[in-house]
Amino acid sequence: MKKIIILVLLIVFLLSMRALLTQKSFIERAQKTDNSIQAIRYYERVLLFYVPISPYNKNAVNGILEKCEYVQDLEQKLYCYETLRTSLYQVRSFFIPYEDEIEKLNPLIAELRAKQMIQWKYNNFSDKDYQRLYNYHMEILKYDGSPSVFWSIVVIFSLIGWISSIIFLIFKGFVNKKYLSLALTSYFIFFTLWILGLYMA
Amino acid sequence: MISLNKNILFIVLFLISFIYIFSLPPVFSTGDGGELITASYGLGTPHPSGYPLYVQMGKIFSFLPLGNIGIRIEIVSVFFSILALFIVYLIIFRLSGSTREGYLAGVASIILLAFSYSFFGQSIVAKFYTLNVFFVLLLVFIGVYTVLNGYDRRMQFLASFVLGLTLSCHHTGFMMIVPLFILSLFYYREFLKNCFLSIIFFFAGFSVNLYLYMRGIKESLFSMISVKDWNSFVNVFLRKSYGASSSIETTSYGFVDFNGYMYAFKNYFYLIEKNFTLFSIPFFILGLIWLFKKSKKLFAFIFVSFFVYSIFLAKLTFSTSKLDSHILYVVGHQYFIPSFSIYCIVAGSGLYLMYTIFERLNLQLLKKVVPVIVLFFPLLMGMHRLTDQYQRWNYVPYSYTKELFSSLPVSPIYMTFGDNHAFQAWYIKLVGKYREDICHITLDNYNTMVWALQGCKPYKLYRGILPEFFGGNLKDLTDKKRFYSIVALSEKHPLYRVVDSHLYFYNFIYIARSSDKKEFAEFFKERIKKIESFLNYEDCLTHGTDERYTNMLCDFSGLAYIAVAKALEPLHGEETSFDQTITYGDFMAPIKINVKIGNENQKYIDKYRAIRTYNALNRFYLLEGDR
Repeated sequence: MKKIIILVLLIVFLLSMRALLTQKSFIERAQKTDNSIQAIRYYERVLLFYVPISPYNKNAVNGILEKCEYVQDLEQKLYCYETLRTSLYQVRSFFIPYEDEIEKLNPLIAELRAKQMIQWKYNNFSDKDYQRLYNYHMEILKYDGSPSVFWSIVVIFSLIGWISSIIFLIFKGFVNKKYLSLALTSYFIFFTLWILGLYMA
Repeated sequence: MISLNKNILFIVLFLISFIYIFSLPPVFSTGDGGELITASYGLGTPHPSGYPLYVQMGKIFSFLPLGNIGIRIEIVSVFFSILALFIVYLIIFRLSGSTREGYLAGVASIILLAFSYSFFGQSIVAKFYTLNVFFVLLLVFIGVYTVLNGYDRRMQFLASFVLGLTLSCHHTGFMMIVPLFILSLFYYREFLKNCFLSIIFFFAGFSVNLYLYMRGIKESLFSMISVKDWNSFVNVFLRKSYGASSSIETTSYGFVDFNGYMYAFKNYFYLIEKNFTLFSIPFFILGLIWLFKKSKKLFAFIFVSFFVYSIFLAKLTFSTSKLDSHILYVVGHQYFIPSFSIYCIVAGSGLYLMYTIFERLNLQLLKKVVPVIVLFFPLLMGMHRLTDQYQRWNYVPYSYTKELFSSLPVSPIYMTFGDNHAFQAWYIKLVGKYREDICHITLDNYNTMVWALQGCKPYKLYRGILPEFFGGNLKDLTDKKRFYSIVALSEKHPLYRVVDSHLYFYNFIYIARSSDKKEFAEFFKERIKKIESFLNYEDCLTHGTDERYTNMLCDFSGLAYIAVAKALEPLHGEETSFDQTITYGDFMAPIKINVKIGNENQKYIDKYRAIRTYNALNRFYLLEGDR
């Protein structure tokens, strides 16, 4: 068990190192380039290597928002806002970093999408359709089919729990009756929680 | 000396972890990567057999608050790879009777294995093969432990439980039942007394598969095939949808056409040569001799384990007379990792035998020099891996799909065929929540109109913005220029008679045959000028890997450069013809485009050529000329 914990810590340490180096490399590239789309792409890569409390995170968010203000073309603007939104969603764990930014981005994206659908000359939409289209897009943007964080955590810990209980049962349960009942009880509790978690998540 | 020894193992494992972590693709790997990450994140069900244990392991790692969800789930492979390497070391160390020489042989073996082409490759992508090899090696360890220490019913129960667990990962893990059963039947018949409890422990392990049903009855974020009852469970678990490649059908190939074993041996030997070089073979032979002399039981157990995962598995999956890049990549590069691990255990035993011979003959100089050479030679292989498998800058699968999405108008249909494009799109849309206005549909068979709609759910949300599609009016959608596809149409496709597929960007646009050609030409020019800024040639020229699907994606992306060059072509100029036939399984869609080249579009043609040269398919390490 000690060795596994050391391995996990080692992996976390190495990944943090790689993430920080990557962030540093891309923030420098983003600040150097004159091409807005390329700068957005580099800032996105800074965010995709999110490290809690790294100063580069906020720099990248601000960098993208700055570019979104700067670009005039509606498709590029949409690309820009969507890129910031997806970067933040891709780095979520049991929390979403900069969730407040996402709340602000959703109406902007819905507005841009609705406008573009009207401007797409092959569609038969007019300004009268704007609100309806905006609402459809807002509904899609707000929808999140991801499993519940709480129940997902229940699933994974109870899975580890019941597998560990079986291993404990195998190695200790047949030696001592006290251990046998302990192993069986914990197995049934964890297994039930696992099934419940899978259904609820 | 003991503390120095301990440090060597730690340093080696640290070094390997370091290289693996820095070699991981930054967001997701090609092939099944996007799908497995999406399924893990969403606690969903990937392609059969569902891999419920891998998916849940992925979910654990997805909570790491570092990097992105994709790379976190790729770490599952690194984690189990390091554990597997540790077991390899442990087996050799225990076999040697825990000696210093055995320690060095164990460390040398894990370096050899860690930097072999395929083990390295599978350790850095989002796939279940290192989890599978971890289980196989755990079962090998149980067998070796039993031979060395005598029968212990706890080990029998543990083996049964682990065998059950293998069936919730890659099914080849379960093949360890053969050597374990032979060992038990011939040498440890006491196991029969504990069979009943063993079966219970086996089913306890197998019960991880309940996941498939519990998640199948729920509407989860992503499910390739939902398990809702016993029949659908059997279909998914036994991979029945793969027909001749289903689990049971495949196993039966081992017992027919015995000439196929000749090709199996030849092809497997080729993999050994590519992964470990011929220098490893004398050690392997020495290892077999040493194991035989040490214990017949041990020899029988390890030899059968090796045979099952090498020649027998090669007979089932890798016994074609001619190897092509596809079979080398999909089968040769993936399935034989367990056999390579056992190969290294035997080669490590051979190395140990060599050390003991030096000791016995008192060859002090050789005893000092050879371990250094043996430790450093595989490290040279590590240098090689940094030129063919280092995927730290491989943004191709991510950026390719994202740019493709960015080039589409709002609320289109985007149709894919085949794994790569579909899996990548699922990640970008379902995990990344990028361009959720796109309704992504997947064509199951090229010559049908049967679609899967994992990338367009829940339907009720998309009905509002795509009433044409849900109302079955595809013609209206093509008139509105909102039907895009990765598929170029050939006469085999049912849509071929009613629509034309035109090159658009990295993909194609479907336009009704009756539509105005001149109007389309104007539309094409206007659109390409607008979306040209999303082109990104940088990633396809800097990814630094020979990974076959990455090269294929880049090769495919060349279409966009031709499209831009076509849209920007001058009125007069030298005309060049581009032929690029795209294959969809057994179907081929030829694309021929003539482009006039002038100052305005020359740079796109140059980029196209540079990308094709950099991503030439013969770059693939396992492919050696025409086999």
